[in-house]
Amino acid sequence: MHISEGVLSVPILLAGGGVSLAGAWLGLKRLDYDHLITAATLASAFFVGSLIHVPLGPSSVHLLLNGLLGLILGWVAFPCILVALLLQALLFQFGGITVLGVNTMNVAVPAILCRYLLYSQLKAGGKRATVAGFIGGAGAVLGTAIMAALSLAFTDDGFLDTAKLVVVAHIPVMIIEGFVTMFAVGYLAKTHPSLLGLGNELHKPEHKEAASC
Amino acid sequence: MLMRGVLTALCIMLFAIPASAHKIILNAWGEGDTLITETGFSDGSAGKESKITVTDATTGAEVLTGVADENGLFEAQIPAEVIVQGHDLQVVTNAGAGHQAKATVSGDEFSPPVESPAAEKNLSEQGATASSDAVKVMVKQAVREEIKPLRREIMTMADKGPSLSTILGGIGYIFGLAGVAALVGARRRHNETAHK
Repeated sequence: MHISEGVLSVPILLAGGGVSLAGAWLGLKRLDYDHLITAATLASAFFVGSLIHVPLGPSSVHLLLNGLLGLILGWVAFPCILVALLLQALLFQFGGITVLGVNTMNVAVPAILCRYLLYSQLKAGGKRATVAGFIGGAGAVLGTAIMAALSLAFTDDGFLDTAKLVVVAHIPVMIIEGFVTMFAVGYLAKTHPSLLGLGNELHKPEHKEAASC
Repeated sequence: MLMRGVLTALCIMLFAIPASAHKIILNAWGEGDTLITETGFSDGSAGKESKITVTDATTGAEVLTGVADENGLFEAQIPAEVIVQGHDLQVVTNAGAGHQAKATVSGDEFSPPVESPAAEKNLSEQGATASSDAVKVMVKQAVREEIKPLRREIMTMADKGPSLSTILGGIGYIFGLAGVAALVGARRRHNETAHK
């Protein structure tokens, strides 16, 4: 979901920019040295994910992968999404520079929200983590669609019409991303729980055995 | 130093690259006194029923508005008094859900309508002594018709999606930035141990 240049009013652009700057700063503070490559790999996946189009009705929608980033990286997803969206705007002309803040906010906030809401489920491991993966992947896309509709509410056809349009358009993406995130998170929870920020679990011997399987 | 270099490069890019819309493509051109616009998405689908707004790029005055058809096409006659001014026209298309694109059509692309029935009459009455003006108009029209498919082809060629090199370049940037972050982190860590 990229909102184009020139659609949104200045207050919304400024608000989005402010939230994104704050979020990216918070994320960078939490980015530790050992997870740099994980973050860069996921940022690349997000960057490329937008090129995978799902043809649907009058237009087509593309993968977002923000749920995956949010569940794995938490706040670090914010700077990752900011960088990836900046590069998409510069290299692919998706979105734009002035709307970068709003687009980053719309994609990153639901992703981080999913992480916070689902953290306990992820920690539980097993089936519960797998289900949490699906909900996280699909929910983050839904959240982004709703946030995009909200930011368009003041300038476009009104919130409800836009929301319906955007949410309906993203239903296939929600399902696809639900599965992608479910498999990714389910696998990681089993093999590399530390990647999910469940680091304390790693010290228990049974999890070390699980990692070697 | 490296950080500063990267930041400078990014800043230069920010201003050097014209930012346009995601996925939505707007082609607009003039044919005689008619403005034709085509709205589409980068995957080739049409921007059905997009809202088209045409304004005078110099004065900012609204010239006309309309809605594109099922194929994303929109045609409208530009009033003669606007064409006479010769100003560029700015076309904005909005395909809904935050998809908007802009294009500017040069004022030179338009010519005020010539009374072609009169010109034809002129031609038939006077035979070979037709005024050169009438012939000019007819030739212009014929050429315009002939190059239409070419024009469309060129436009679709120009709208190709991102190439592999662009994609790989973007991934390279991301890992490059991670490298910068690693460098900063390492230096900080080094300084911390040095101070202890």
